[in-house]
Amino acid sequence: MVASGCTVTASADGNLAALGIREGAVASSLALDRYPDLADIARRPAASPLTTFTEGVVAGELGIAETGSVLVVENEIEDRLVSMMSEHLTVLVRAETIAEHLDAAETWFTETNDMPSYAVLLTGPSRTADIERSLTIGVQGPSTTRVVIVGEQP
Amino acid sequence: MSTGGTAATQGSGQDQISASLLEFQRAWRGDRGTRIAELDEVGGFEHLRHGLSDAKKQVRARWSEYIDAFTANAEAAGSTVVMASNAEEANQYIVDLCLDKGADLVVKGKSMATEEIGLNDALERAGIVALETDLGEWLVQLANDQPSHLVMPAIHMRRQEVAALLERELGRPFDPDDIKAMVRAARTEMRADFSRAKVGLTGANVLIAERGTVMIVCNEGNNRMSVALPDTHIVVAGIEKLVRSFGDAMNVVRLLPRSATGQVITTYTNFITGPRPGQEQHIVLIDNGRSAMAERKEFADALACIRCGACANVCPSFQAAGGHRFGHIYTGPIGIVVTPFHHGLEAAAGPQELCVSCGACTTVCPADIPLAQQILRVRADVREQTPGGFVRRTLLRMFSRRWIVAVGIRFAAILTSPFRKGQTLRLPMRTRQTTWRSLPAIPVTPARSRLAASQTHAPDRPTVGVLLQCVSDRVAPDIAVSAVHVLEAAGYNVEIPKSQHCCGLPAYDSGEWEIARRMARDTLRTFQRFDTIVTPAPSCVVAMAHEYATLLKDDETWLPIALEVGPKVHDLVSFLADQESLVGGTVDDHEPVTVHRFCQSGNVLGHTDEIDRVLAAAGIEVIQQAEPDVCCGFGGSASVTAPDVSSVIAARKLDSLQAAGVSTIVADNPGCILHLRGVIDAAGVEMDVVHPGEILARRGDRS
Repeated sequence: MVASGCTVTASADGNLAALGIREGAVASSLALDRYPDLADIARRPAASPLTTFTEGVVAGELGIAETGSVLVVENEIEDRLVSMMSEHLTVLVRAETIAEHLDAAETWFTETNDMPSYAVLLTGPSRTADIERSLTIGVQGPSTTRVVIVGEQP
Repeated sequence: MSTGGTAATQGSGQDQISASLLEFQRAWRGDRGTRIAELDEVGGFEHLRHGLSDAKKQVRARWSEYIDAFTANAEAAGSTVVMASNAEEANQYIVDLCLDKGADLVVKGKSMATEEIGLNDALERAGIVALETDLGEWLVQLANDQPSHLVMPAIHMRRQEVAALLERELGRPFDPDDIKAMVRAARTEMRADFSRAKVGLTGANVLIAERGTVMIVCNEGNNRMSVALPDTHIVVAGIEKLVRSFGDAMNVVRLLPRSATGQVITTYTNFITGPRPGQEQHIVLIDNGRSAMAERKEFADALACIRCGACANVCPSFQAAGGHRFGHIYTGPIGIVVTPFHHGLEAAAGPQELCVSCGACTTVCPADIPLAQQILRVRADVREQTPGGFVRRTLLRMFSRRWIVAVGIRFAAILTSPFRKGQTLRLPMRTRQTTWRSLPAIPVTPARSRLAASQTHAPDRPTVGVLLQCVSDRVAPDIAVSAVHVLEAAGYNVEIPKSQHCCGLPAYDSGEWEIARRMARDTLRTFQRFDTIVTPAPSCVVAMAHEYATLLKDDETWLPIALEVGPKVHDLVSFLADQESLVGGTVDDHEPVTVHRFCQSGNVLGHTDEIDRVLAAAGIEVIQQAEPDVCCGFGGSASVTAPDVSSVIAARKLDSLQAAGVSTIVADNPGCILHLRGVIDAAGVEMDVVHPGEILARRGDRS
């Protein structure tokens, strides 16, 4: 996938312990549903108050090679907080969902029967260049973003 | 997104803004070029931008249907959609809504539409604080300043200014070189506001009719926080943001970040379809002049704009003047085009004077908007609808008469002869026009007199009609004379019609289209009998082959003639480059040269390496200048109406030319040649500027 300031790791068996996710992390409901082991170390955050988390885990619907993005669905506020308020973000995406082009995202939106109130093509960490065009990582969102490709690539 | 960031030369005010923008424009060109080339894998830039332009056109053709479809789909997802026909209606709705929600603070994502309607002021009058949360906008708001760029609102601020501003506002010192610490401080400040605000407000990059979805691109993450955190989310968007489908939206995803910041994609490309559970969402669609814009055919295509700012990033006038001067609220070339519809023609009257008509904006626009032509149309509107301009009109009317120019130039030649120094004049008085650019020396004998014996009529040779071009004929006759000699050497009969004068481009560029039309008709009358017309000046080709159709579009008699003659007009260099007559011997022992191609030769006529090929055939080595595609500053009428801007562009060009390290510049357009000679003379630099024809005339078979 195209580099975007994030690290990309492969995990053939989805072994979360090997990824070094620590106890106390927060995770989205989709991540907890799809990766049951996660429940041992991570929890869904509360809707308020607004706090910063050290580490968060979300699960993506599909990966786009053209842009190095993962399409992430987050409907409820508790889920949105994970990717917004975590200092270090891990995005889990299944290898078989990775498509070459953005057309796959188009197809996903066109065909879904369960349109999310919020979906985001997430690509790398939060960034700005608003002061003298100097690239600065970690503005409102995470300062590191790691994409983990889970399973064998077909 | 560029990672440049080394401090530009320290200066103050305008100089500092120009220096920052120059550094940015140079970096952006490289980044954008790389990113745009990647699009070849998915059909290519031209294909994608035509697709975007067409998609927006399709929506405009059935605008109300698509507005209805978007509204129905968004409301089915739980949003409330309202239509506001003007700024007041939109502001009233939003202020009432905020008051109803008991909000005293609104957190805002970056939105040009809200700047367009003056929403922040309207909220403030109602006692509501509208807090900008995009870092650049936040800084500009904190400094009580105005944004100066569509995408990088604080590009005019130096790190030292930012540090001083934060120290004043936050009450502790900041190290100007620790940008990360300043960004962190902004984040901490804004966190409290995000958790307190009852209303979040954003713009939209795309509205997708098929699902009622709002798409917003963002790098910092502030937009998605403004969307998600408050219990009420308001979207403000112009109706031109509507597209049919997610396919159209993905086209914008491919074009927008590449064109804006040279990124493949932004960190967040958000797709919002209705409110989150427990939230209310209101989408305010604004017209505010957009329907009127669609009604005017010349301007309708500008409604495809995706607000990337590429036109400003490539614009030499924008670099010289900065966004505060080169724009009203919408800055840069697109700002000049849309401002008359949102904020009145008067608001665009000042900025439009700064355009040099180089056409670079048109070539990079991801929505395929003919910006350069539209800006000239705005200029013509300004001339038609604002009083004054008597002196300009009188001078242009005099200039439009061949005999007045003939007599006037002869007088000027005699009067200025004591001040001649080589090819330029050293006048005793220094004016705004001449401190940075010496005026050209004026010869007593025009080219047409020197060429009186030059008409050949060999029956076995093809005939070309030569348009000498007014500047070459009267002020730089060596160019016109050598062009004719080169054509004769290449095996052509040459005819030089005596009734020829000027194609009318100066009047067209000045916005005086009535005068330009008469000159166009005169020129067509003179040249319509030729099958091939050649001129040493590509600027005349631009006028005859491209602008006449615009000028004469309502003239039933002359439009067909203009369309027939247009394709028959060629500039000398591309005419020679495309045929075997290029083989005409070499110029022996010529030192290497650098090339300055007229900006419109590339941007309008689509020329690439014609000058280089002609020179290579003559055995002359070319060393490229640093910024070959940037205008010399002479273009349009700006060098007369805005010399302070034109002089900054000229200095940039001189730097670029000097970087080649040679002493001869070969330039294809006489206007650029005279301008560059003057700039070089005033700067005290030792460089010659010549036309390719002048070099070719020195080839072995003629010398």
